[in-house]
Amino acid sequence: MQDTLSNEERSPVSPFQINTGQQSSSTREVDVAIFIKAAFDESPSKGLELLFRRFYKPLCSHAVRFVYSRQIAEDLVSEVFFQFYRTRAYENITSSYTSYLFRAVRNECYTYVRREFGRTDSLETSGETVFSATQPQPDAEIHYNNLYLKVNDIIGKLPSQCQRVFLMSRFENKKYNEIAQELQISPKTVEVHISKALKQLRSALQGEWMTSFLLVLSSLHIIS
Amino acid sequence: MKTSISKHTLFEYLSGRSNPLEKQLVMEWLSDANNTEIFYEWLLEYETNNAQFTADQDSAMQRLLKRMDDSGIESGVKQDDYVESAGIYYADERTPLLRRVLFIAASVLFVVSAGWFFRDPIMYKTYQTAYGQTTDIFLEDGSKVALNANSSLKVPRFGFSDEVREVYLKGEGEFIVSHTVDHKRFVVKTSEKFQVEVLGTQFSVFARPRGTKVALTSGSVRIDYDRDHHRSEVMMVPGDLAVLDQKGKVQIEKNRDTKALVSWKEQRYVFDGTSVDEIASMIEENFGKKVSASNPETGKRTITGNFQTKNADELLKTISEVLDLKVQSSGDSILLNTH
Repeated sequence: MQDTLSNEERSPVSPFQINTGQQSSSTREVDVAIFIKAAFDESPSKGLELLFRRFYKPLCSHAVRFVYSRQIAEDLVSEVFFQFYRTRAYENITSSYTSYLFRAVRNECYTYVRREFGRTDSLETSGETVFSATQPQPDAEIHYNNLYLKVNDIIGKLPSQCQRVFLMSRFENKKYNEIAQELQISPKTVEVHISKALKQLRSALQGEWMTSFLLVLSSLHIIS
Repeated sequence: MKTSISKHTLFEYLSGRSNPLEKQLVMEWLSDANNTEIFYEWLLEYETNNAQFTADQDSAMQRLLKRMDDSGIESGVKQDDYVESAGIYYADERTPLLRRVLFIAASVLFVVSAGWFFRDPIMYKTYQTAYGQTTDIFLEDGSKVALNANSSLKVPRFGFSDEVREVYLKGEGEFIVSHTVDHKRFVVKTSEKFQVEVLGTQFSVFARPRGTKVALTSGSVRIDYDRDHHRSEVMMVPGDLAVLDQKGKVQIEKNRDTKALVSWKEQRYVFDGTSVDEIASMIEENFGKKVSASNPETGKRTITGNFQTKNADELLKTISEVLDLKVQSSGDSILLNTH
């Protein structure tokens, strides 16, 4: 697997450091949090703006690992901010802003990926309400990490031309005929590559939805 | 055991570079709820330093501010007593019981209506054959169905009902129905207006846009059909071929070689004075290739014989050689020309 677009610079932290830098960074974090909290108390839109400026880019960067599309990543993250504001979730937040926002974004991404790459969409949607209402499983973080790592892995394993076409379409927002022109292939071939990539994602991610799918199936079985 | 991992280990894990052992370590570390906050803090740091792309923050902010204005939520004014959960984990602890009950009721209603809406795919299992593919299906009552190319058979997923064994056919299939102890009827439906009913017997059904035909090999069947809103029926005896004509009436042709009609089971095609036009429609039905004769005379020419082939090209080649025709193909459509 590769970090297709990662920056050259690695994190400035020494590779063998164990929790030592932790102290200073978390105090800084707490200071920022208090500052933002104060802003929310004064004016929610002001607080949201501060939060947005601090978290938007990293959240988008994280979301794109799941959905592999800039546009969709940005839309999902914006949606999370908007809902955070609309539902006044900032008033009752018990964890840090960092963990709240990342969790919300990861949850949105999961739902999106499942809807997009799940197998039986029609049945899946009925499960959505049931699923999002449940409390987080203890291994939710692991589950989400595995999901995006898997997506990354699947895309990394696509044949090079197919991968290139897929990234151009999803990541650079290019139209099919633009891609066709640039790579000097027919638009039909572009379509074939895209559908191949999507099919690959769908079949490889199939196991990921099993839990929720079984849940829906069993409830349907009782009714019928 | 209390595991502690380094930031570096986590970063390697996040970028998918860790080995299974390190992965295991991170998973253990993550499953401890006390580490969740640190995890997200490091995740933020990771995403800040390893950004996959730089999002256009300013224009996104503008859009968000506009959306906030449009939504008409007055900032700083408390409107409701409760906070809606936005599909996020932090449901408000003060959620009234009523809301929860309503939510459950809505979910149940939703699932029920979804079940009703998708009752067809849930209640029935559908077997579908592709062009040029035939398959044998064994039903739970011991009956066997050979399904020709480009056809589908729908059978109840959770077993047949108590009174009748009902299946739905589109395309072409041969049925070998086994008799049950309780004389349960077996019904093949091809449309709302046409069905074949049997007790235990062997017969084939052809139900394609071109027409509907039933050929009986052994036993006896009854055809029920709707003609000008009147229920009509015909009984068939072995060797009969029933054809539903354009006017909606069923005609019986006696003493036909019914075996020839299911030769497709062995990838064999039996033609007995069959016109080129008929063969062309047959190829389109079974292989999805559009075949047409360049002029009407060619279309009316007939051929008699027995061909074994697995694909349309081979069949067309043989026919064109016999009739001295030229095969011109472009994409999925084929034209038969005279020399």
